[in-house]
Amino acid sequence: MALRRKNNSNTASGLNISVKKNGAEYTFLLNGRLDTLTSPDLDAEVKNVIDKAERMIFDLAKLDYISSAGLRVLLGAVQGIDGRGDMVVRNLSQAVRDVFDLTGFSLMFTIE
Amino acid sequence: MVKKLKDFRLYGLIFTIASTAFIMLLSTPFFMEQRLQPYLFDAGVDSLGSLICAALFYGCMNQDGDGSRSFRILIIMVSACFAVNEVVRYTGGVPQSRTIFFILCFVSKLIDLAMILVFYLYVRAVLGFDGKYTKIADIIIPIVLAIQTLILLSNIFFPVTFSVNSDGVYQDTEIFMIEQVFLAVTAVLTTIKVIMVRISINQKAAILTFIFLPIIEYILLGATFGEGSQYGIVLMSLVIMYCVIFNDRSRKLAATQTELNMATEIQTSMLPSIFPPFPNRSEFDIYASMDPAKEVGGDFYDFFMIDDDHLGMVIADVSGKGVPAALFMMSSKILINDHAIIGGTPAEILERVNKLVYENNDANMFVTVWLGILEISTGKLTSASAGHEYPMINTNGKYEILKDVHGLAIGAMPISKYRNTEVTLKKGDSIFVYTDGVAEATDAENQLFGTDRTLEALNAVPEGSSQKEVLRCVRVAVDAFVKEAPQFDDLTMLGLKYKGPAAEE
Repeated sequence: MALRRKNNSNTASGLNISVKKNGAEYTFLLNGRLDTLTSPDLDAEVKNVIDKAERMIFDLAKLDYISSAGLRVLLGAVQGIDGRGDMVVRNLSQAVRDVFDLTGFSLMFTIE
Repeated sequence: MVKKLKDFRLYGLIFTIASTAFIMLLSTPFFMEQRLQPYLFDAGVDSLGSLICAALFYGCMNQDGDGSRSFRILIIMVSACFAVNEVVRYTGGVPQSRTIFFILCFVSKLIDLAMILVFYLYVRAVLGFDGKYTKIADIIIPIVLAIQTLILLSNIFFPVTFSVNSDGVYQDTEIFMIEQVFLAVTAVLTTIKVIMVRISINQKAAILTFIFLPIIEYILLGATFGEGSQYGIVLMSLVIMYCVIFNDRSRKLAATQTELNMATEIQTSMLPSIFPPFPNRSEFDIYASMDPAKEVGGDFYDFFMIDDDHLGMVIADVSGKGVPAALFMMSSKILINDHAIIGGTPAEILERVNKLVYENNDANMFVTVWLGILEISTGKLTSASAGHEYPMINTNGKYEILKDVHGLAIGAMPISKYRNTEVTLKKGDSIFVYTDGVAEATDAENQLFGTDRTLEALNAVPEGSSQKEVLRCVRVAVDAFVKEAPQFDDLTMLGLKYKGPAAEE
């Protein structure tokens, strides 16, 4: 019964998202897997703030895995904020960094 | 907001279950105590009824749509009525508990009124009431409800419609029928509207049962206050409504499923699927396969003769899954094919395609593409990658990763630059390209199959095998690795072996 999907990092395929707000700067801390199943959750969180945000930071230190569906959410974010503010992706693990390099996305994000 | 709504649903379910448990526990004295035994039947109806309420609530818990919320509230109310009625019977006829008995009778009647109101709201939401008639109904109903509530409240001070005597026995007054005015008014208004509105006859009948079943029950049994079957009948009507709605939805769902299957068929039929595809070409052996994880996927492969000496090969992966990905895949495939035939190097072709795809891309979708063009007479393979996985190439008897230069996935940015990578295939050399479904196949422990295992599988293939056999071996290795874990991503592969230029005639 899918009453409410538990975004628990303990489960194998889950994503825990926490959003920190500092003025018009939003930091998204992602913990777990960002894939087809979990990316709609992040998409919803991003859409919540995209109109107010002047700076968005995605902290991927605890992100184990990212799929193309996850990249799509980040692409939506960078296009959404384009012209009004900037977006930063930081603390990429090697595995996630590889995906960014492979898909060429490391060319279009500011990576710290 | 969404989460709150879901919480409400969860609490609703808990409530209906708790109500059932409560009624079942309270049924015990109905077996034991002499004075309660005449009500044993009613206690049974209450238990069964509240259990059905819980089941019904669970059934429509995740439904969204017009009136589904009102419908759930109705179920909760019926469940509450069962519970209250059970206590009403338990406390009735006992002088000591006459105050609590009075309060419960009062509450029960209050819920009745609320139930009628929610029923009206439900019908209103389902039928999308509007127009003059509804405006009148929207005025009349609250007024009658207010008067009715006042009459009910006045019972606290003076027995207008009912009273509880000193023995704790419920008594109607002579004008008790005025309690039913609200029901009558709402019933008439709703019935007229339901008959007028254009909906299927099934739906009409289902909604009207809420009004007419209780009336029939009243005529047949001459309902006395607090009788168990009263709410059983109301519940029955809810069950009928649910079944009709459910039936309608299933029919729609079946239609959607058929359309999805057709989409899969169309998609699959767009990929070259007759092997060998070019029976009169002896210079190369090519094979490709695709296994979508869902009904329709976003992966594709393609190959085609650009001219007599050039073979184009494509492997691509669209972000996301399902129908949107499939639609995006279709347009990308056609664009790549067209532009490859128009001409240019793979990098030039991808640049043009990227521009076109980006212009018509509102959904932030993108597609990673590997495009290779083989010059058949020389074995020169020129390729460009738009963010796609590294090809695996076998030029010295062993498959290795070919670290080609990567451009950005197609559709991500308005202008992207790509670079060509050139290798020359000798007789017997081969290349294997794939989508992330291969390297990212995951076992039950969440481990990735990985490029290393892919290479291992490729290198374990016996020499001299056909490309079909090569792909099958990789598939077997992936399957052996993931075991019971469900296939998460599409599994798409393409293999080519160069057999050298055709012998001169």
